[in-house]
Amino acid sequence: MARALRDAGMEVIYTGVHQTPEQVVETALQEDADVIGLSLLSGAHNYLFPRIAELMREKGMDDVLLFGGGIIPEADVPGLQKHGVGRIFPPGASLDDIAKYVRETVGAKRATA
Amino acid sequence: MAGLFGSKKDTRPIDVGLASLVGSDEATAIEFWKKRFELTAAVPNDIARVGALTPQMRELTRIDNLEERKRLTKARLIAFAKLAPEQRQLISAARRKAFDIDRPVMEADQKLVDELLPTLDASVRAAYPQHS
Repeated sequence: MARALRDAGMEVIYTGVHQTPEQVVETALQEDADVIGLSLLSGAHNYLFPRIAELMREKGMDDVLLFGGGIIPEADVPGLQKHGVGRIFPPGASLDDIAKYVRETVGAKRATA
Repeated sequence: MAGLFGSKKDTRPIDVGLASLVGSDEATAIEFWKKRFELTAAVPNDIARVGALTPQMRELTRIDNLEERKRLTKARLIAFAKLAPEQRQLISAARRKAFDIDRPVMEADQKLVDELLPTLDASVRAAYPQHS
């Protein structure tokens, strides 16, 4: 995923696995990231996404896009989006679609900033 | 998280979705597992599929109530049998590799599978050729 976004011309900081929400948000803050993307296969999405969204709000990161994908049932997506999470991509989603989503969403955010 | 010098053990579920299945009815449990397997089978990378499967097995072993763990394992076995053959193949391959990641968890799970599978309907057992 990281490679695909780099190939699409984006600067990607891959933090590795087993990061805590606090570590993820701190890294994004330090690096002045436009986007936090999470790949979650552990079934822990209903805890991790809202927790990261909460930390982002606390840090005033309102202009940062939070999105992701993984083993996330479609039924859980509306609940995540209520917490401010953007699109959730299922396993096997097109890497081009994901790159396009990131590019267009960040572009739109920058245009309204 | 380590428990050192009185710091608290992290008792949060690894897999919240699976943890919330405790006490659910059989149909709900079977549907949960089927959706999980379908999503896992759709992961385009072998290693990532193993990474998806292992936390689920670990979460099952955290269920203290053995009868509940057996009930959810039974639902899992039934759900697996409802998958398309190519999905079953991918999940089985990921399961075999998961033994290299967490052998104690997988062996404990296999023990339950070996106990429960003979009690299930022939149509479910047929999905597990080594047990037919």
